[in-house]
Amino acid sequence: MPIHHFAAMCLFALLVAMAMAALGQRSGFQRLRYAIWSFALFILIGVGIAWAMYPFSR
Amino acid sequence: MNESPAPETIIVPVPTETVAAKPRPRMLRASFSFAGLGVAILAWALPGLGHLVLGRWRRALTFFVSVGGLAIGGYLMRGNVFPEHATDAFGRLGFFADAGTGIFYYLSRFFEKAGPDVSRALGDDGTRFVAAAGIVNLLSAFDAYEIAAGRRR
Repeated sequence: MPIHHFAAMCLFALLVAMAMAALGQRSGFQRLRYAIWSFALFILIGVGIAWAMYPFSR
Repeated sequence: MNESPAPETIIVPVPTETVAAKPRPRMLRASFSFAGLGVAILAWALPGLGHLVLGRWRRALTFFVSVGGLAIGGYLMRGNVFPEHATDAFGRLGFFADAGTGIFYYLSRFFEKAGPDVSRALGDDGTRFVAAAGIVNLLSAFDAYEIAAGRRR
């Protein structure tokens, strides 16, 4: 299945953020906010780590 | 007849006020719940089913989509699925994580007919997807147990 590496990371972040929000928060609005926040952090930290590893990739 | 005198009894006053005033520490009892165990097994076998039985259909749908999406995504990326007869500790841990997906563990043969391919980076990602699906489902089973035991809303 042709899927880009970044798309795979986004899919992983979305699905895990959904589950974490459902586990950690009880009310609907808090759950949505938590899911969006953790999704954004997943992507930001993932891209940050990728850039930090870039000098060692070649 | 020479009688010996009765021994003296010493009465020590106990400060009852101070004893009563001290708040007793609340004991936390971890009582086992058989209903919770049944719900947790259902939640493990089919992701979301435990929460559905408890009437939490939104959470049930969230866990089903999350665990199912991670597991099927991992299979389509041709991630490695650890067999039950693993010999080393890493393989056993991998099997424990993968088996956490419940019914999705047995669907791996259906979605991954060509077998795993971890020679590419995406195949390695798929392995992590399946393991993450199992861990998320085990956490959801613990959550369902806590709700059924009355410790969580």
